[in-house]
Amino acid sequence: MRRELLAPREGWQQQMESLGFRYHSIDGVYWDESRCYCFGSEQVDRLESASAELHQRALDAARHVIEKERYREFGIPPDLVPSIERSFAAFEGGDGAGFSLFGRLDLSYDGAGAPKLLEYNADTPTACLEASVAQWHWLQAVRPRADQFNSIHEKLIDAWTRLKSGATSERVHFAAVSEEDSPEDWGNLEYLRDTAIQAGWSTVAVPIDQIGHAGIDFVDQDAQPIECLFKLYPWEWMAREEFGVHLPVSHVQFIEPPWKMLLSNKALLVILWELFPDHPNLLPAYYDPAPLGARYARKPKLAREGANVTLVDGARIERSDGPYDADDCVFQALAPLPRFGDDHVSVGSWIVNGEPAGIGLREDESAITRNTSRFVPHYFT
Amino acid sequence: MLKRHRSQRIVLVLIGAAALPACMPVTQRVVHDRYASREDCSADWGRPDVCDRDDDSRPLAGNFGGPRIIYRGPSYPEGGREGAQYEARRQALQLGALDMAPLRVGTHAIEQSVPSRGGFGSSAHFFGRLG
Repeated sequence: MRRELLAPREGWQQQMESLGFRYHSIDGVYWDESRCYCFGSEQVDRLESASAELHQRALDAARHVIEKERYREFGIPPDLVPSIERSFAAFEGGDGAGFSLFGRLDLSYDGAGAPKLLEYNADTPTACLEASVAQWHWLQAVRPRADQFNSIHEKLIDAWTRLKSGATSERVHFAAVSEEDSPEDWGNLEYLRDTAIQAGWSTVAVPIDQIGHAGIDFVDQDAQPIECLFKLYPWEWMAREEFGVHLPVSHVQFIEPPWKMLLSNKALLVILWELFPDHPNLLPAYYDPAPLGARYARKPKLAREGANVTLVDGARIERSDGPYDADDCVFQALAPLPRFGDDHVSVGSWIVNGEPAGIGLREDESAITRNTSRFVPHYFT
Repeated sequence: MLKRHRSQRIVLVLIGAAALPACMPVTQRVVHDRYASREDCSADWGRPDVCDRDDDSRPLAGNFGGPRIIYRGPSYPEGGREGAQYEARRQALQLGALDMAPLRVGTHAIEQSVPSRGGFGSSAHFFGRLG
């Protein structure tokens, strides 16, 4: 694993925009092709197998939480528990009602040791368009003879196709914060919608605040009933908002399904370590920092984009700000991100339809990967 | 032979240079039908699963002091009853679950409402971007 510095392509901005990647320079530099990462094929194999393993162990953890009814540790509202249990039972039984499209495992990996799980963005992962489409086009232009750990696009289409084969509905609604308020979320949403269309679905995009409720269930901006809703909007946000009271009795099939609330919560890290201590891809994690001594990461259970994370390494403390400071936390052993020059790099490993599908790399001068961290393409030989 | 990891071809049909702007919100009235019984509702829509007990158990219009339990059919855009009914029946037929009971005249009353909106989305203003 090495970093290479490159001259960015002339006109790369227009090329990215032609792919729907219009937020390439959000926060200054976001897409950064002034560098790339090169892996060896054995390193990619290791990332792939670790990702498959971690996803399976996460499913084991979800099963355990449901069997032992440990919902309180996750802060799950009691009235959503039946939805979690129903949807997970459907998932386990191969019923489309439990269908999960994707997730992203965030890993610390330096190319030598075992990849370590930092967290699982299992409910609303973003940077999918970048990982799937933008870096693939970069590869075609810059390293056409090399390979890339990235078959996200075809796996997404396969997943939608599989869902369609047993579906009673022909239409999926896609909801996220509007393009005006979040170009990144909307760009990801439109890309995922594109893959659903290619699988034969009829689709409708709806800004999340335009979803209506009409007596029995949810309707879209044209008052059409919503039967199947892909929502790029966190479950815990929906649950606490005004329409949250309708969720437990809703007939809508949600993607991601309710059971993904168990995987996207950092309490998962504690459960995983409890069930699989000394697993090579896991880090010790607890609800209390004491067992970790003076070296640990403090993470709010429901924080996103590295917000409100504190890294404690003896007397050295690094902290990120954010709106989650009042939330319950978990404490995880440190697994410092590898450094290349002045930058730290993390690996986001995509799981699509239960299988490893590719990676996207984020770089930052901070040891904490944030929403401002740059997306850097990769290839392998 | 080495296993291939990258996509062979990526085609986008929706987004890109010709991407359409986000859907513009349209305020349209939505209506639903109210029934004295689930059977009446099911006969009308061809399937019982789209019929639910109404939380609001006001009696049917013109039936003062009538039944206390009311059922409501699915919501549909105002003026789109025929299309919505056709679609519900077509799906029921596909599923092998079409209710063939004969329609009974005068079993339902149409009630209009505008769906309430804005019940999702407020957290994004506080918490910001996703992961």
